[in-house]
Amino acid sequence: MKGRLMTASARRLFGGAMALATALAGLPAAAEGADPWHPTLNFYGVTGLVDMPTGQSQPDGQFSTTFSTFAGMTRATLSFQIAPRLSGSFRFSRTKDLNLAGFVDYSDRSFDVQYRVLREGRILPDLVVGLQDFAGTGLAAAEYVVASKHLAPNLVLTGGIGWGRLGSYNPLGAPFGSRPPLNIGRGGSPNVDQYFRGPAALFGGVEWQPTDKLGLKLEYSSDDYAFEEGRGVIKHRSPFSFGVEYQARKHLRLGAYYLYGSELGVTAQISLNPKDRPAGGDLGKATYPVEPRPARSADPDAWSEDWVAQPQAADILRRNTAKMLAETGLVLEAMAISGDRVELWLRNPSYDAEAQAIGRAARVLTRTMPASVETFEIVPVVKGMPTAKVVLRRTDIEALENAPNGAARLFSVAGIADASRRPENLTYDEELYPRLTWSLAPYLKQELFDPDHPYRVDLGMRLATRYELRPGLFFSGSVTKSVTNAFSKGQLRPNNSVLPHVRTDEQLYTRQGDPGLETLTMAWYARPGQDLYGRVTAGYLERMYGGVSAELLWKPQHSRLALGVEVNYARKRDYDGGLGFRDYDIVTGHASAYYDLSQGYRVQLDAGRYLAGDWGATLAFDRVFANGWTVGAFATLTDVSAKEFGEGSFDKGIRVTIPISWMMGSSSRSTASTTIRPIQRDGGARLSVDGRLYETIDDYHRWGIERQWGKVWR
Amino acid sequence: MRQLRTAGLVLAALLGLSGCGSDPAVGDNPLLLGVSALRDGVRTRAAGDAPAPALTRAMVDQVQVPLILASLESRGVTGALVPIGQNGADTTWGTADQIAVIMRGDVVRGTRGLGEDLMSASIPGESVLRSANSVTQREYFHLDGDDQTVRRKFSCEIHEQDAAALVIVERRYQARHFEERCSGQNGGFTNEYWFLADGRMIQSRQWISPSVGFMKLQRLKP
Repeated sequence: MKGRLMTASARRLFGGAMALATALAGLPAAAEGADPWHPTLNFYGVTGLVDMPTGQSQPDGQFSTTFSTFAGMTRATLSFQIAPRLSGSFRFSRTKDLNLAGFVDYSDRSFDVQYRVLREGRILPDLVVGLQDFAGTGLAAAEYVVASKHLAPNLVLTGGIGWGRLGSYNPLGAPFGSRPPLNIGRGGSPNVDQYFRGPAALFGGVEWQPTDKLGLKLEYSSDDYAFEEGRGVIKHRSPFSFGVEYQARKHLRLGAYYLYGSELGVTAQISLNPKDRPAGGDLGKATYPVEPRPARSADPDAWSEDWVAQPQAADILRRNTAKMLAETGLVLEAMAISGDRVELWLRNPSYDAEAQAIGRAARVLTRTMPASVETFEIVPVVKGMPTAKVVLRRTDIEALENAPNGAARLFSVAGIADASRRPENLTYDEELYPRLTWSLAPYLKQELFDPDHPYRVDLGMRLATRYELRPGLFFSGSVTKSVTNAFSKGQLRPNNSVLPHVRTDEQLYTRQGDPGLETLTMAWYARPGQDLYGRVTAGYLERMYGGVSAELLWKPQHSRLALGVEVNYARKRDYDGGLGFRDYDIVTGHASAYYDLSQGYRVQLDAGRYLAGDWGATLAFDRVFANGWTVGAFATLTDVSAKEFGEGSFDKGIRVTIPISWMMGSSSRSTASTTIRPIQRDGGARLSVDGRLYETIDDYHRWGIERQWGKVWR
Repeated sequence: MRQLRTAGLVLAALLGLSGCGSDPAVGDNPLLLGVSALRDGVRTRAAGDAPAPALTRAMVDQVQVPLILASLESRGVTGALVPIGQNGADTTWGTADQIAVIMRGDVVRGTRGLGEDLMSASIPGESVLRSANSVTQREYFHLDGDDQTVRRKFSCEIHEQDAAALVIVERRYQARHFEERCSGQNGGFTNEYWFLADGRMIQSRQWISPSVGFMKLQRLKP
């Protein structure tokens, strides 16, 4: 047994083994595989020809950004293939010298959806039904049914019929009655009474790809641009447009076009797929292999449980394990050990896949635990809270390390349970608490859709600090200082909101609050009972509010449904980034339901009282990829009327999260994420509190662990 | 890949960056990663300019442990493998920069740290690979870009080629040369093996994954 404890000391297996290897080692770089050809995008950033859509759709999950411009009309579009048949787009467009609604240069945002009804077969074509600008001001509104068919592997013929904008050139008549007039007012609500009404016209074209990189497009458009022509923006001389496109990089396609017999135009299409890693895969380092135990017959002493009687045994084993875990980027939070079983509370600051952290911890345990310890119970811990308990038999770990399909086979014999109950002999690592950490790092903030500056970024520095007093109890704070001062330039926009200015004062905060105290909070996390999680956060919660926020979440390990409640008292902070408050305060809160639909879709419903005192509900829908990408949309309806709300009619937006590990191919838990709203108003606004429970624990729960279980042996 | 990394960083910039407050995450700040990605790029280029130091038999003779020289054709890189773990009949070999290759005898059944790794595989026994006209079945398990397991099945035939004279780090070998021609639903590949008269495999070229391609393995020390 003594020998066992000795050998348990961490050894460096890689590296040191030999100096020769260093001279020979090369840095691996992923090969850039050829991307299979997929349908291209048009000036609206949707699958199409030049200005018209086609019947094709992108591969499932494809995420693209398109910039296009012609005749002073510039469009920037985000498109996402939500499901194999369903896609959605969000667009910001700007028309120079349109002179509309009091603006010389008119800016607009619009949403599109497309549904593919048919998939191309031997006889049938691809067929798509689409709604363009279905809920905006309606200036770009159009509906269409369009079919595409391959005439040869590199030649596609498209024909369709359009309404609205796409029914304006040479219409055939109005098959479904007349179209109510456009109401360029607040926008934001679906214009259902207009869909497929009014004149309809035919459009079509061909796309030919003579080589892998080169594409040629010819189009007959059914958009007459009469509105823009009447205002001197464009001269429409012909329905025909031509284009040539070049695949400059795997993810970048550039195009040049001659449109409508009078205009030159260009596009840049940036298109990628969350299921396609830029680095080819995970380039992170390998870890320790499993160290199998000697056969019991060969070394019966090694299997004895006598070591339990040694007074220091548990402490030595815990320290050895902590040291070896640290070498693999993991943190031993606490451990409970007995003769035949060990419970390891594991903190994972390094790996985006929790299964990978669990697999690495299991391999470390095979090297540190006496042979008699047969059951490994690994408990991921986040913010001091134990989440799932993953129970693995050491015999299975030894048998399946290198077995064909070993990950799936290990999952089938693993147990996952709730870990709220703490074992009696659980001992925390004595060096973990209290702990002070800090960081100084650059930040990047963006501001979208300002009438004068549609896209602005501000670069600055953020100093952040965090003090962990005991498990689950943290103090943290951050201050920021802008370096570029990008947001302080330009005109202060008049604020026409008739509601309390709970969010529309943001420009005052960014102008007056630099440098400023961003957050300063005390947060407490706990497990009040089985399947329950709790949080209390108090202090300067976000740049615009301070107060107290309390949350309780019910989320059983094997349930796809989770329920939560949150109550906050929030008081509006001074604009200057200091400690003072203004005289607006409110009690706000929500009851929330989360449902994991499996297949990578999640829906969330929050109902309650919002910051301006309005009552209502938010519905959010997200596509959740196993590798950590999420793309989603949300909308909030409250008892604030569309008129009181102002431009946009109600709060809505899209949100995207991209894991750094996906981008870089290295191990990391960091993500880049953003929320884009067409416009930020005061209705339907929520308090922004860091570390809400669902997002905090989801990765560490059964479904989060199972999603990426394939990485358990990585 | 550098271009793609840059594209990724631009994307991160467009989307805005996460604010992470505690120190382990500082290194993950995309703005800082941009700096290190550039540094990697410079280092890779510099390494490409200078020829790698030639490996000599004298250097090999100093090594007291089994040694395999592994090269990835698709990346033009070479590394030395030494055994770092044994589990039953399977040996885990590792490089100094912590890339691991798992083999049963000299037949690869897994890799770690190459990107699109071979996560696991069912493989034929080594003796079958030097039996002309025998057939083998292989099953490979990879992870796709969304971390889901992909199973690829292949049926293979062993063909003996002309015997070959090999020179591996100043030492000459006369070896029997076999090809294992594998085909599956979505294409195939051909592994190659060179065996000495005593039945030991001295050199091989084995398929890893679609994007990694082939790994060439040369036994320097048994």
